[in-house]
Order: sequence, then structure tokens, then C-alpha cells
Amino acid sequence: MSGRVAVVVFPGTNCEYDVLRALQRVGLKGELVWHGEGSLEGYEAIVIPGGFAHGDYLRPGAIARFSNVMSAIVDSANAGIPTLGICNGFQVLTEAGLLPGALQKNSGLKFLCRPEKLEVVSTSSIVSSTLVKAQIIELPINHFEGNYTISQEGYEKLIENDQVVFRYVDNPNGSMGSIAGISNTAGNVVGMMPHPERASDLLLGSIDGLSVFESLKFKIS
Amino acid sequence: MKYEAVVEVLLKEGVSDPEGVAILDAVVSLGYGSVSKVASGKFFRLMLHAEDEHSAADVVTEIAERLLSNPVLEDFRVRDLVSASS
Repeated sequence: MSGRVAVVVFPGTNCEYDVLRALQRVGLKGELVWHGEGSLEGYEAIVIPGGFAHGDYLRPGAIARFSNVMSAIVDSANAGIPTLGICNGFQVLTEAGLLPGALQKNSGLKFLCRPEKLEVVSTSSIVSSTLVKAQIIELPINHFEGNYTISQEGYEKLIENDQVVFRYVDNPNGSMGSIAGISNTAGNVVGMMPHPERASDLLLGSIDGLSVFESLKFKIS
Repeated sequence: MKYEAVVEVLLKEGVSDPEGVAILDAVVSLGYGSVSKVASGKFFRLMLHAEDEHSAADVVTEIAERLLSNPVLEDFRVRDLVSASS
């Protein structure tokens, strides 16, 4: 494996360097890719980091979805390339239709920035294979629009297909079923609101997030 | 012909509207106890050129579907499509 991971940067993305560093910690080679790029050839995984792509104008992810790089992301994701969207990246993936549902304003109308305990629900996704079912990890959240919303029918499909990756232990934002992260049916596309890259060094107070990137590496090799 | 269209985007029935609830709280605390619901949403005014009113409506509807609204959370309505003097 080459270990090359595309870290996609939109105008307004702000977690790209944290993600690069976390990838480096597990031995992967992250490379920044500007949103105007039309091809993602040669990359073994894709990460869409957090931030405020295109200023979050209209809705988070609504404008990013039409950036050049998105068609390459859709093609790669459909070809089975591991693709992870963190926070704003999760919002981009739902807007692009690569993941079901949508992220709505937090039910308490507060911007939330604090560590949250998460339960590992599925271990068959690209970010959870080195974790154990029902294991509790703690990762920081940092969002205003993290309230995961989907139709009842869509929610039942998520459960049926083992697509719920993480649930909050104490639902902070009103998400349906306390959902913090989901995958597509194939398991190779994952979106999660919590930031694993912000818990990837003891200096940051926790290394719980490293498992997410280790799982990603495991999937590639 | 030049047209002006207004697109209104509102949350679907059943989708939580914390912003609407917060505004309702403020409305009631201002003394307007007769108000029982506030729905928050978005409003867009588009100016465009089109052959006729029908094709203008088609284009605006397509834009509203593809970009202005998220079908998981929101419904939209194209209203006040009028020919505008240039």
C-alpha cells in the first residue's frame, strides 16, 4: 500500500492540518487536495475534514456538494475507496447523497464544543474495525448543526443494515436515535460529527480518536 | 423576458424547528400570548431571463430542488413569479 490519503480542502475548511497529523501518527500519508481538483486517482482513502466549507452559506455542505472534487469523491466512494467525512465533512456527504439523512440545527440551539462519550455500535465500518462493539470512547464535538435527522423508514434501514457506527451516550443535540456517526450500506463511506483528530495525541488529553485512523489504515492495507 | 421569482423554503411538518420555538418564546414573552406557532424558514428572490412564464417556473423549481432546499428536511414553494421590467 502507498498509504496516500486525500485530505480535501474547501474554502473554509479548518481541520485539515489536525487530520494530516493524526494520519501521520498512524503511518498514513495525508495530502491536501484543493476542492477544484477533478481527479483523486492514486489515493487509497479520502478524508473530508471539518470546518465551514463555503462559509456554510445556505446550509452546511450545500454549496460544497457542487465543487469539482465532489464528482471524483462520488466515483471513488462508489468504487469502494474508504471515505470519511468528519463534522462538516459529514454534512457534505449527506448533501451529496453519499450518506442518507441530514444534519439539522442542534435541538438546544447551542453551538456545542466539548468531549462526548460515544458507544461503538457497528464494527464493520472503515473507522471502527479496531474497536469493540459496545466499547465507550470519548471524542470532542464542535458543531451547531449536528442533529442527525432521517425519516422513520430511513432510520429502520440504518439499523437493519448495521449502518449506525457511533451513538452518543448522552444525546447532546437531539439526533435521532442519539446517532453520532453512520456508514453507507457498503460500509466504505462514513460520516461522523465528533472529531477523532482532536483526540489523537496525549497532549490533547486523549488518544481515543487514533483507533478511527488505525481502522482506516487497517482497511487500506 | 425578465422574471422575478420568490422561493420560500420551510421545514417539513414533523421536523424539529428549534429556531421557530425560540422565536415563539420571544413572541409570547413580548405579550403576544395569542400566537401559538412560529415556523422559521428561508426566502430567496431570483431574477432571471426566460422565454415565458412557464419556462421561468421550470428553471426556478429545478434550482429550488437541486440547491435551495434539502429534501430530507425542507419543502419549498415557488411563489410570486412575475415578469419584471428591466
